[in-house]
Amino acid sequence: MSHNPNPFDFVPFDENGPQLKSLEEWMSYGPLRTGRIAVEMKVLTPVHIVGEQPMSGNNIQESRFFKRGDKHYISASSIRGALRAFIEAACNGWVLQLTPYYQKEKKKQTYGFKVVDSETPKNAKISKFLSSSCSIDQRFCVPPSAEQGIDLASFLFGYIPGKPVDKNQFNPAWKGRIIIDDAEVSSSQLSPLYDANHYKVPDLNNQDAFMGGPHPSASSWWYQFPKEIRRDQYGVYKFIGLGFRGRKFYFHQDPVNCIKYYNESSDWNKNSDGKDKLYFFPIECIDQNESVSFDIFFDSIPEQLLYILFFALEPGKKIRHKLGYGKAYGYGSIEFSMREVVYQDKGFVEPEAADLNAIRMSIGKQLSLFDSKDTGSIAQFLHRASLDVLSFILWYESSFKAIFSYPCAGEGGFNVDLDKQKRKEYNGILKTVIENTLRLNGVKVSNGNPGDSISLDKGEKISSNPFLFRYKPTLHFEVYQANSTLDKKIKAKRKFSYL
Amino acid sequence: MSIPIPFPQGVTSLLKCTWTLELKTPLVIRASTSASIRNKSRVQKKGRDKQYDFRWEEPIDEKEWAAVRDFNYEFQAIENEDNGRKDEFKLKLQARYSIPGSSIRGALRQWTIRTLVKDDEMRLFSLPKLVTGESIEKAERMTKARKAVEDPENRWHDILSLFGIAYDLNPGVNDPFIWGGRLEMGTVALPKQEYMPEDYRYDKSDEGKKVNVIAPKNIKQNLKTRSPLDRVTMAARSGGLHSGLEMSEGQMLNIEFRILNPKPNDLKIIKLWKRDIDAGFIRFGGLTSQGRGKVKIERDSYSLFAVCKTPLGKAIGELGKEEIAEEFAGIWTGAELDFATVFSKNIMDTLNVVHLPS
Repeated sequence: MSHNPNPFDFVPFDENGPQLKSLEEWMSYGPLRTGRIAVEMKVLTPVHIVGEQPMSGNNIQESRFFKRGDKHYISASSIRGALRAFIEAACNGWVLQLTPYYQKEKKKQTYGFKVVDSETPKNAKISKFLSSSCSIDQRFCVPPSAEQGIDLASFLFGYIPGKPVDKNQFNPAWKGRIIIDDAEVSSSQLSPLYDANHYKVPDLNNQDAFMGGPHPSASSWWYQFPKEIRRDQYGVYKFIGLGFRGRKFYFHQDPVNCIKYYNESSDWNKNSDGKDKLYFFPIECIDQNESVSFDIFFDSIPEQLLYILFFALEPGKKIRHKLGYGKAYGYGSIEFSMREVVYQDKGFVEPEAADLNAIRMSIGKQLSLFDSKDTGSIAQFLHRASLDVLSFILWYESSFKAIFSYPCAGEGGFNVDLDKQKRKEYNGILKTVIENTLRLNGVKVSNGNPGDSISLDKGEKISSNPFLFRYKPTLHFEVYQANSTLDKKIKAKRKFSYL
Repeated sequence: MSIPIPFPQGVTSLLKCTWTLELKTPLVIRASTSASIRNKSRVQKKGRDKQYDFRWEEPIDEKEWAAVRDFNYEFQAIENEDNGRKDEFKLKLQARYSIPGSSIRGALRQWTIRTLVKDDEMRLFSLPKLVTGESIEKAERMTKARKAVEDPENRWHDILSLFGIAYDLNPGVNDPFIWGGRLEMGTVALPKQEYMPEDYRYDKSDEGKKVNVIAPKNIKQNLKTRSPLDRVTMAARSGGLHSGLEMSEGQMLNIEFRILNPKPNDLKIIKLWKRDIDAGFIRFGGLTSQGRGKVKIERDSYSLFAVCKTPLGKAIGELGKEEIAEEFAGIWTGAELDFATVFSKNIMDTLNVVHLPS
């Protein structure tokens, strides 16, 4: 049985750690440039930036576009976040924003786990955590000082040191060199909230949780890599995961097709109580094909690093960014285009416009010899493997065919929303299937903690077992994606190419 | 070549600049304290039903109230209308949002350095890093700094003459560089209006403590909430939600600054500021990285004063403008000018002449 691919995928972390350099090193990449980029942002699929959301019980009635005073805006922080997250991934940098730890919670989290060691409170009940190890290589976390260098994104956007080990220690921050303005949106560019074709987003009917709300659990291999298998005192098998798969990015897709799928799919129709699983609330969007403009100012950035910013704005042939709300449903696909680049030289001189075509040709030339190790090329700052994955996920085509959707909560998905009778039957069968699969793979699981370690390959092999996959399809993220309708040729086709 | 210590022959001229700035984007000047907000629909776990109660005090109950970083404020003593009542003082304190002149001065100084000083001389007047055990050639650095500041062709010469400097890396060995600048930044005047906030309502249960009564209300403000996204889950980063008050765009503020003994390069610097403020390069306050603090000079006026018997005094008189220094008739003369006139060749040429009375 095949299913839609999941709407997001991960850009893996490099096992050698992030690319860091000292401030002095970063400063040495060419003459310092100050100036302005006039950017046009074309809306490829409707864009929604959340403003006010009036509620009706647990359901959102409608989601209005972000407004300040009487004007609508795409806030600078949203644009900045999209660009910075892209540069962090493309240049193998730090992971700036991370929830530092997840505690064991009733009904929610079977196991607590640490993410950023230095930010896990000392008084947190460590015994409640699965392991003393963290879910991310700590080299990717923002450190308390820049002694070992900083990543490229932090050089451009700024760096605030993490918590120092010693309270009396003072570590300086680094002021970012990029200013991004809000992009103003005129009311005429917004779609009406209520008409026959209004844009909408699905959500879980009358529940506290959001649809697609992430649950980076350590008791599955969805967000985290396989680590071990345990059997608890009730004989229930636990597939323990530790180590995040990577940085999350969402695929582009047609939101109308996607919403239609959720609306019509029997998987998403009724829950185990016979009530509607989903409701759809209207969202106010910037309509497709509309454009908005904003400025980016840069101040004293070495020229080669400025070219990375240019590249992030226009990252090549088919890569397009995503912005705002409802990314998982196809909303928020955008295309940045540089309309003007102005350099402001030192002294009492007038600013001068740069030749945009020359900039684009120069980037193309530099990237055509990607692996040449040329010290004059921006390729030296880019991480090829990450770019290929980014290209795979962020590949944009004007006519979308594939539908990307979340696995449902019931049968064929996460299998958590089953009625009592079905759950009993399901659990019985699942236990047998797990035991058979483990036996076939020569894995012995003893009772208690900790369980036997599982290699990544073995974890994938176990998860790929067709019987186990039938009853636990969402056990392993990559196996779920590999078994989806996503054409296998697509991955090969979507390799990074600038021109 | 000499160090540009100001006023060796006293003050013989003065340029007063008055700018009316319009905020093109919100302005953030952070206070060191927070106020607190509470969402009225706090039982809901999702959605953004923005109906906030506001208290002008730090959160008293962090489960219910969230901190919101306040805009900079100051207290003023004003007449107490209840002073006829027993135990009431004649004056009472009222808080007002304010913009310190130093915020404006700092932004102008920083931009001037970045724009005019050569890249390899940017750190000439910076303090060395505090690294234990590292020996610093203090005397060598002081010599280099002196050479730069003494050279009239070096932009540090103009900048430090205008803004002043206090730099003493090698006390007791090298002569320090310490002098006040010729630029005096005045206070920033905000319109005398009272605004009702649109993003929240003052919490009525606060009546007993009256914190909301003295809360500043003299700017139109908006509440900005940010929630960074966790890069692995793309959901809100736990503990990342934070809010702050901003001065909304569209409002006007007046700034006034004076330059004593103005020089031609000072006027070139003002011209640079005017251009780069309007272009959005020079911004004021915090969060400029997210587009805050952009302004446009809506109106600018200049009053130029000089001792009558100096070449500049004579040049001002020849302009035939209305005298604005009547109180000092025969000693000082002054005229209100537009920038083009101030920047004209005639005035610039006379500014080049030493301002000693002839």
